Amino acid sequence: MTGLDFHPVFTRLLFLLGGVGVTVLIAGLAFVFGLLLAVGLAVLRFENQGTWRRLSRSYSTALTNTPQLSQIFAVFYCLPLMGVMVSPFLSVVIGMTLNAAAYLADILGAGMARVPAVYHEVALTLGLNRRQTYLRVILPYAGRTMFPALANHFQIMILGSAMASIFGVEDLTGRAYDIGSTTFRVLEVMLVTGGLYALLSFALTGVFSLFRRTMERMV
Amino acid sequence: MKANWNSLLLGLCAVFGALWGGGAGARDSAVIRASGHINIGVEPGLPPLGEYDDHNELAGYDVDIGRQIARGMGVEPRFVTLASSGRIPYLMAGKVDIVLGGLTLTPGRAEVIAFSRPLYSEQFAVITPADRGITSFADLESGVYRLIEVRGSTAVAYLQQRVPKARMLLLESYADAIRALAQGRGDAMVDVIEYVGHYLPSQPQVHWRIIRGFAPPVGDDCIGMSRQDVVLRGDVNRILNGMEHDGRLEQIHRRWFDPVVAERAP
Repeated sequence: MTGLDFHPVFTRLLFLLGGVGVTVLIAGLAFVFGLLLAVGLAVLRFENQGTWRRLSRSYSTALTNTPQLSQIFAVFYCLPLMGVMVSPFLSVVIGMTLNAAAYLADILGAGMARVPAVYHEVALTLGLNRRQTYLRVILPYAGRTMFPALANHFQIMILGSAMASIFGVEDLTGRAYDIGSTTFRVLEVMLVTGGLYALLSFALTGVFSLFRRTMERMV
Repeated sequence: MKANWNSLLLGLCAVFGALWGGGAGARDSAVIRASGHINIGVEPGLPPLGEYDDHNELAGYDVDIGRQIARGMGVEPRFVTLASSGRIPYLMAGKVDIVLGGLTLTPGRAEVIAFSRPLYSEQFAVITPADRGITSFADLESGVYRLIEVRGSTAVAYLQQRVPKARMLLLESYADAIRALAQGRGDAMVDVIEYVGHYLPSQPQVHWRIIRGFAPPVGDDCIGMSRQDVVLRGDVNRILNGMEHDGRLEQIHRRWFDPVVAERAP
């Protein structure tokens, strides 16, 4: 027996659980905005051969080869140097959005490249313009094909959002640190927090599986 | 992406079970002596207590004290670097045998670790950019001003008690806190000026205002160690008493703190 004492953690469990919502909100917002940005980047890549394509690829190269922590750090500390002050929460969401867009653009790009040529021909035959072709044919197909990869990335973002605590955000990890710094039961609170992340991640896996099955039935 | 709840439960049980049943604890003094070295936790981001010098070597008040403790015990010092929030967890996990890093004796901490006799007393000051209009500690009571503090520092608990209305942004290090304060993310910081003063020159564009004397000495800075090992506590206190007696304690204090007070703090 190592002297582990979970009582101080369990008495603050409600406070800790409050951080789950913040964690999901950060990851959710960053995923949605990142996905929107990623669609733009992927389309640029798909539609162009020259500068725009290179720019889009350079963006992904730059952001997938630097730590997400550095990117949030840049938003948090560099934007104020340019006179732009955003809250810690928003800084983290912006940093994670920029990072997610780079990865999601790669995923969507791969999905768009797998759309069979016949789909494009059918869209053309039906008289769809480019915008309609993207919205009704290419993106739904790419989204369906790459759904497992997109869902996995969201789970990675849920776990990666733990770094928000470094910037003073009271997410699940931030609240765990708060409890640890007042009760000094850091090991205990981190074990419970790790368990909560695992539960959250598994719950999301279940939701995504259900969503995918529903989607497949609808097609 | 398949959800396997059995695997999850099994994994969690394995982790909890391993930690519950056989986790590491702090080494006792007999083991420390037999090993020939003592692991000393110091914080390298907290000058003058700990920092990397021009030769990239650890230096500072805590490093000198640690060396003297090791010498007194007849073992080699091995310094383990950590952050403020890691001081007690490192000790409780057995990653260090003793820990320094501006560890203030508080009743809460005394419930989980043991403290040596005091090394020196700390006193809080308000550190604020002059243009924020804060002229006294009482100004912070209104809740209008946002404070920036370092997570795990004694100041957080002090402020939660003294100025409960004040909003607080908790960051990980003094360097981050001072940068954020200079950039306008907060209005003031309350902490020990001897620690924070080192970072103020890094923001030369800010005219800093230091408000002192509003609080009694907040506590004694001590060396932390395991509660179980009474022998180690006795050894450390004996060495510190010896250092006080022959003037080494005062000498080390003067060496590291006098320049801070004279040169660094505005």
